[in-house]
Amino acid sequence: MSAPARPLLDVRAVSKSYAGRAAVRDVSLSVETGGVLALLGPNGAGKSTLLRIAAGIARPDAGEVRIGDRPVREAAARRRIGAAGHLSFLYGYLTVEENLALYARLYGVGRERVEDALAAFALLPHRTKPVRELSRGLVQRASLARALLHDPAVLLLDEPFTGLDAEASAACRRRIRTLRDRGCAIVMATHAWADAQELADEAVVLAGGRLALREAASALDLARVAALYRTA
Amino acid sequence: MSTFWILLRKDLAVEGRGREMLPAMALLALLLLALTGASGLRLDGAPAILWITVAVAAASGLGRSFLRETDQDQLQGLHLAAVDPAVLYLAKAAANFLIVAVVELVAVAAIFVFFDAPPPADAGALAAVLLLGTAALVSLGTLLGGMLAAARMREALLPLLLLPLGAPAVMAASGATARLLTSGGSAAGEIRLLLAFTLLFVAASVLVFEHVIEE
Repeated sequence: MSAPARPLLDVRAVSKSYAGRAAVRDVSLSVETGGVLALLGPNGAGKSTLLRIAAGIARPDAGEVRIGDRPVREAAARRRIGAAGHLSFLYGYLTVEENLALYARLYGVGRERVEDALAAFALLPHRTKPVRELSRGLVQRASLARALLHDPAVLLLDEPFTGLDAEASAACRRRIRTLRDRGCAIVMATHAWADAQELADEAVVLAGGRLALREAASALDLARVAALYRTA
Repeated sequence: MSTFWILLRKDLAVEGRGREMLPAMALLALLLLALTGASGLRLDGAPAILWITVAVAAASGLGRSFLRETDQDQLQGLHLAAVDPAVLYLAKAAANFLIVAVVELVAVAAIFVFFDAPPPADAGALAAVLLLGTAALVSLGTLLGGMLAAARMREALLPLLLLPLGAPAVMAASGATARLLTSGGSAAGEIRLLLAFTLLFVAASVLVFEHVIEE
């Protein structure tokens, strides 16, 4: 009998406090290859903190995160992650193209990936514009392009559709499905419950830093989710 | 291209576009030297004024070098790309060194103009003092800038920390510059001290920078 497959992203009993206030409490979750997990919860529920812990950006006070069979603290594990959050990680004075080229060099991927990313996120007309001169939606597209530049095995998205127009949002959804089909493990924090039902296999709701609900996205009980939002 | 060069090139490109550090630091240095020169201070006081000026200019500018790494969480983007924190520190310190060195060139030229300083007898030794004094201040200032990157009031805190902690380097550089400009004596002791100061702070920063930038 073969052993069960190890999850690509494995978050085990992580907790994190800031200045004595618990942001995440004893949360465990895992995502298999090709799995999409929607992370729901009201503002301040701990979604962004959990994603930062999962990305290895924030060190948990307790628990651990593994990417495949390696702890996320290891550089080789972190390089398998793509992340896009509220902040873009981009340099405002550099152009879109220069920013993507910078990250491409840091990840050791070829120049053609920059061209692919510019094309995939409809950024070709904006490639020579400094990021600080772009609209919020364009910055979000550039941030998503950066996150996907190195073809990550694990993708962590915090409100990925924020600021995107309908066309860009649809393109982003298509991209998420393509990545899922290619085996990427995806975690997506969102307030849009419909997105969770449409794109995810599984949904979890965080409330007060705790994991309050976990079920198949297609069977998500929206009344119960709404109740958790109200009581959080 | 190595990660060090990629980051150094990025830092210089960002400064070249934004001009957030160099013009303000150079202007501050020129103003301080012009004002002290015009007040009739003698050449004896010029080396001290030069190094205080460079230290104040560095303290006012170095904090901004990390501001550009935090406004969009860029530091964490680099962390996610598995950039070695030691390399990140070294590249940032190298970029800061080049920027402060330009400020220092302007300041040294101003010393000759405003204080009517004679040409130094040992230009090589003076160059060594200038380079090592700058390296000492920048190695410490870059570490402090990283430590204060997430702090409120960081622009006020950096001078409060850099000026007293960097005082031994400023005093050594100032004493050596005075001797080389006025009496023509040797500055070998101060050069060794500045080298040791720089190596100490570079080594300490390389060892601890991972914890400095960690969330």
